[in-house]
Amino acid sequence: MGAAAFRSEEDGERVTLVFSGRFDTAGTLGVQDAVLGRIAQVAPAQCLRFDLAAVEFVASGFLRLCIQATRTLGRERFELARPGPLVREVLAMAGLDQHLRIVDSGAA
Amino acid sequence: MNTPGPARWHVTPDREGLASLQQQAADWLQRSGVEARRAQHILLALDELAANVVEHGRAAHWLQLDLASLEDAVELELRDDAAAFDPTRVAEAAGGEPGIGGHGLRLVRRLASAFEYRRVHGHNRVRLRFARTGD
Repeated sequence: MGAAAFRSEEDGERVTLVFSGRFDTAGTLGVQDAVLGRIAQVAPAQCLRFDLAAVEFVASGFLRLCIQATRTLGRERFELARPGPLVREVLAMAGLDQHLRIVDSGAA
Repeated sequence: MNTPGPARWHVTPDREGLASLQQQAADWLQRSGVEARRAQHILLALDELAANVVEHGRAAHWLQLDLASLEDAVELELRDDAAAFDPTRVAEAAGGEPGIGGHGLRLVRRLASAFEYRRVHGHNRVRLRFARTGD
């Protein structure tokens, strides 16, 4: 099972956090402080994208990071990109597909 | 296929214990021939239940997981020695803007075909059942 990891990329007006691996509770706990710190550093003129193309699994701990990002930045400045079928299914089961901006395109 | 018999694991209620449960359960589900998507559903429900014990500081000293393969279902039981807590009685949040918490048990309810709680000999026992295939 792939270890949870992320890297941050920045192109001026957009910060992209590129996630990979399994974000079960243990995996999410390993990165959440760093992710929350990065969310807090997004400048007012920037937007934030979570690129999920390489994410194999998410649990509610990761969903909380997504909700925190939306609360901090607003729905217009935060989006989830390229979630796979399982991640999409979890977002829908949690009812978050109606509240978070999800896009299918956009290479990191 | 030689499916494995019932299995039991004890772990400490911490991050390492949660990771160990996920790995052990994933291996067992694969050996049991549970289809990949259904196995991910079972692992997700297990993770949410176990995390609920660990993250809410209910002073558990251990977690015990039992998995059993039935003809058309997989049964999971998670026990802990924390203070009594019945997750089946936690109300779901109403609609509107999503809150930070409460999503884990919502997922468990969506994923499992049966979700039962008993308090036995000072232990919490949560039992889930999943059809082996399908939604």
